[in-house]
This record gives sequence, structure tokens and C-alpha cells, in this order.
Amino acid sequence: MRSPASPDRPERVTIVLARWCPHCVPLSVTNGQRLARRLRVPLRILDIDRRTQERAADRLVAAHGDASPDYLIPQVFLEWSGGRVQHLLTGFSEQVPRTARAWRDLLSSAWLRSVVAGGRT
Amino acid sequence: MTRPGALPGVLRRALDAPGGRCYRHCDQPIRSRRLASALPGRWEVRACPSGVVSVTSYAEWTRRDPTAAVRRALGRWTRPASLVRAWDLRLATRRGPELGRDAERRLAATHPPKGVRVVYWRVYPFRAPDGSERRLLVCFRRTHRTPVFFAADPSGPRWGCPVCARRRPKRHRS
Repeated sequence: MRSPASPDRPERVTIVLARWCPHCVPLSVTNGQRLARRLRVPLRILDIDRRTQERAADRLVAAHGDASPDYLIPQVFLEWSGGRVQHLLTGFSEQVPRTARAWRDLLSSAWLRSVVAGGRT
Repeated sequence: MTRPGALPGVLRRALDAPGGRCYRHCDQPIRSRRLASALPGRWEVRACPSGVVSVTSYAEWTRRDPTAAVRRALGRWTRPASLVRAWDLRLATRRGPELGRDAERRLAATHPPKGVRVVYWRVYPFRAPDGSERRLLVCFRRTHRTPVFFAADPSGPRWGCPVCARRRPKRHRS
């Protein structure tokens, strides 16, 4: 069991997506895997077209993400060992290449370097 | 001094998404056009040369959710206003790491943290009661004081703008 003083660490990356969405598959799955590898955590996919996964996705988005009646996908989250959930990215509705640029920026961000180096941010 | 909620240049540039083509309509290049309103943030309409709207967005640097204000503004520009449905308005928060180095630095320097909230309005094509296709179009004619959003069949013989249609027909000199 971890001591209460141990620092928070990343535990899981979750992507809320749909298989038919070009911002999601393959773009966000591939980049989500890269992000999870960099953080050394598992990647969880929540497909909004599968009933049980949809419920978990709706809860996650409502509590921590960009909630709307028909919310945007993909949405990417990082779960921390202390229970905190951090919203990282929502797809860009303008066009798929803009979402691809956002992934590139996220993967080369100072924030990610800091987390990989052990910082909590 | 800028108004609270207005986007500094570094964030405006980070949000830019030039290019793109009209999806499932004409495949022509998308043109972006800014709109002016009383809200402090930035409006952008992405439409093809025929006026078919791909998406309209509003971005503001704020902690609040601007969706309700966006819906009211769009309702004033849209005929009928009932075309602006809550279902078609979607919120996105840009927090910094996904916006590039300069924007990340700018947003990280703000305490407490404040992201850029973007509301997208996207109306998917739908069928009218007579079975014909309807798409969201926008009219920017200079005779209008504001843009006019409306639904029409883009392949139909008439432009379909309800404000232009109200103008009296031109009189020809005999």
C-alpha cells in the first residue's frame, strides 16, 4: 500500500471516441498509445457506441470533460493515482489535420516533459 | 487594454485552423470569415464559396461556459431562430499543452488556470418534410447589418436567404 505522502503519479490514459469518427480512429488511438507509452500507463478506450462504455464515457465527460448534450469526440483524459482526473484534449471540430496538430503539440509539450520527469502538473 | 475574455494574439494564432474543404457538398476550399458581436471573444464562420456552412465557432478566454451567450447571439442571426438547437452546440476547452509552445507558456502563466473555451455550432444536413435536402447557409450581403444563417437546398434555383428574399424585386428601366 502506498504511503499517504507518496506523490501522485499517472495511472491511465482514457480516450472517449467513436469508431466512425476520423478524428478518433486511427488518429487519436495511435497518438493515445504514444502518450500512454511515454507515461508508462495503460490506455483505455471508451467507445460511445457500446452501451456499457458509453455510460462510463458520459460520466467521465460530465464530471471532468467538455460536456454538451451531444458532446465532442475524441476527449482525452489522464487519471492520477490520487484520484484526480485531468482533461487533456478535445478534438478540433474544424478539420482532422487540426486535431492531428493538437496531438503533435501535446506530445511535445512542456507539460508532458514535466510529467514524464516526475512532476505533478 | 483588451476586454476580459478577448483572445491575445498568441492564442488567436494557436487556434487558427486554415484550409479544409467543403465536406460532402462541393469539395471546394473552405473560407473563414470573422463575425463581430458584443461578446468579447472571436467568431469564425467556415463556409464554402456557395455559402454552405461547415462550422461556426466562438472562442473566449474564460472560466465560464459561454454556450448560452453563443446560443442567444446565433439566435439573433438565424432565420428561424429555432434552427439553433442546444444539441448542435458543442463545447471544447483548450488548456495549453495541445496549442503549441507559445500558447502553452501563455496559459501556464495564468493563475488560477484559465483555458480557452470554444463553442462549435455544426448543423448536419437534414431532410425537409417534402424530402428535399436542407443545409445551413450563411448570407453576408452588404445590405444585411449582420450575417444571416438559414436552411435551404443549396442545389435549388433560389438563393433562399429570407432577408434578401424580402427585398423588393429590381425595377428594370424600359
